[in-house]
Amino acid sequence: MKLPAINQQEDELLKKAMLGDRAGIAYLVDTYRDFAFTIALGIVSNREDAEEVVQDSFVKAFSSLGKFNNASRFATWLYRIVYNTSLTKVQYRKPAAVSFDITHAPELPDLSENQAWHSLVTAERKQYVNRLLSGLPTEDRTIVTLYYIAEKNIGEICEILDMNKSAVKMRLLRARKQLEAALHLLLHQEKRNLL
Amino acid sequence: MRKELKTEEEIRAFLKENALAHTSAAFSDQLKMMLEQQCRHHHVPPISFNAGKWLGKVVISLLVSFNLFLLAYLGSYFLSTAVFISLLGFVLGVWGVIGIMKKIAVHQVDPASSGL
Repeated sequence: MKLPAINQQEDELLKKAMLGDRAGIAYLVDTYRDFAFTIALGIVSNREDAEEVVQDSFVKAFSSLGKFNNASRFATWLYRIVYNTSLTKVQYRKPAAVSFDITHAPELPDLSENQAWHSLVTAERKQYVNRLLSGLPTEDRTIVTLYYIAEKNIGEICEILDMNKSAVKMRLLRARKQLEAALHLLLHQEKRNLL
Repeated sequence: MRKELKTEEEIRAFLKENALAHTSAAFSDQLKMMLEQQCRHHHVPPISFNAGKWLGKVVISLLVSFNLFLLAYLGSYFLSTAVFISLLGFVLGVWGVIGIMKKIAVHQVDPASSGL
C-alpha cells in the first residue's frame, strides 16, 4: 500500500512529464517499464517483440498523457495498451519470427565461489518460475502479473483486461492454487538440497 | 484467513523477486529519449487549463444570452414563435450532431481498446 505523500509526489512527477520535463518522464519510464515488459513478455514470449510492444505502448500512452491526473490511472491505461498491443502482435506475427527465449539467462560476472553459487541458485529459481508461469493460460498469467507483481486490484485488472469481476477472481484463485503448490515444492526441494 | 494472507504475501514477494523481467539500460535510455522528443513535438496541455473550462462556459453562455436578449429587444421578428422555435431547433440540432461526431471520433482513436 502506497502512502498518500508518495502518491502526491507521483502525481507531481506525472504533471511534470506532461510538460516534457526530463525528470518526470524518467520517473514514469523507470517505474513502469519493467512491469509493462513482464506483461508483454508473458504474452509474446520473445524479448525483442516485448521491447517493441513496451516502446509502442509508452508512445501511445504519452500521446494521451493530458487525460490523467494521477499516476495510478496512467499505469492502468498503460497496462491496458500493453495487453492489447501484445495480443495484436501475437495475432499478426510471422511464424518464422517465433522464438521461445523466455528464459533469458543472465551472464554471470566474475564472482567468488559463494556468490557464484548464489547467482546460480537464483538463475535456476527464475527459470523454474518462468516455466511455471509459461504453463498458465495467457489471461491467467497476465492476471497473476498484474495482481502480484504490478500490485493492481481486481477492479483495475477488470478494466485492463476488459473482463468481469467474477472471471478475474476465478482465474486468480486457480492460478494462486497452482503457484502455492509449486512454491511449496520448490522450497521443499531447496531445503532438501541444503541438508 | 491469516494463514491465507501470509501465503498471499509470500507469493507476492517470491514473484516480485523471481518473475519480474527487466529491460536493458540501453533500451530504457532510448525510450526516455524518444518520449522526450515526442513531448517536445506534441506539447500536451496541462490539466490546470482544464480547471478553467467551466468558467469559460459560463462566460460564453452569459454572452450568448445577452445577445439573445438584445435581439429580442431590437427585432420584431423574434416575437414570432415559429421563427424562434425553428432557430432554437436548428441550434440544438447542430450542437447534437457535433456532440455525436466528437464521441465517434474519440472512440475511433482510443488506442487502449484497439491495440493498434
